[in-house]
Amino acid sequence: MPSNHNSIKTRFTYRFARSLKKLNKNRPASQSMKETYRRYHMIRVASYASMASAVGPKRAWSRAVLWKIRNRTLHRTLMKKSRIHVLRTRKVSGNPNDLRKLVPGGEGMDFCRLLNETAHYIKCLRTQVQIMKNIVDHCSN
Amino acid sequence: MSSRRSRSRQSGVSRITEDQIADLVSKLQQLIPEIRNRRSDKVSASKVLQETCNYIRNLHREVDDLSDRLSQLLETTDSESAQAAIIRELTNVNLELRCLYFLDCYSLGFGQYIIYSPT
Repeated sequence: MPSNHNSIKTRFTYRFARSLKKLNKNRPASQSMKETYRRYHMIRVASYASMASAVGPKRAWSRAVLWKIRNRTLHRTLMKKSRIHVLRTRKVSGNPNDLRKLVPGGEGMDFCRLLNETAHYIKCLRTQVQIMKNIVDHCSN
Repeated sequence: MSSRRSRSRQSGVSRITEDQIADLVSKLQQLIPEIRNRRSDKVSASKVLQETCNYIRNLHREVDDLSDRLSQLLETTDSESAQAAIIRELTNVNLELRCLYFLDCYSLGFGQYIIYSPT
């Protein structure tokens, strides 16, 4: 639905611009490597978070992204545990498994749902990239 | 295959049919620029899935790269032109009437009120 996607685009732009403005305000005096990396990381998280919250809770992938970000510590612990398990059981990764890992929330879905969510996720990712490109272009001029 | 179909007819519950999956796969194919223009019978489903994975990975990489450039730009450009760039992007986005409500609520603090006409 094109009208839905336009409103997603708008909401994303507002939220992302707001995050950038906040990040820009708290500019640290030092330009150390650590600060640069930290700022890069925060911009990246803000970008994904803005898109997920612009989409809202109606999509499984956006819910998964928001959950991951809001429960960062818990998520990190769970990831550590699952990584140990994966190292022990070497699974041959076929196509559906790769896709499940790439699409947020993809692990617990049936295949049909996964394809559906993937299509929407790709559309939103494209929008995200396009708008970020536009901002970078405007900043560089 | 036929037993699966007759089972679904009996139970009345919608099962995942081959057609549904083929339909979704073709929708995915339309989204991926690499294989968008090839005919669907020439591109196998597994190729579509593979290209989808590659495409998503590329998009993730682009987001990382753009975040990196943004962080460098925000460091080097002064705050005035950065804010101006962000405003310019906001004016380019196709707005609907209710986004004027957003403007009132968030009032971006740039000290300007932007008037939009919905296009």
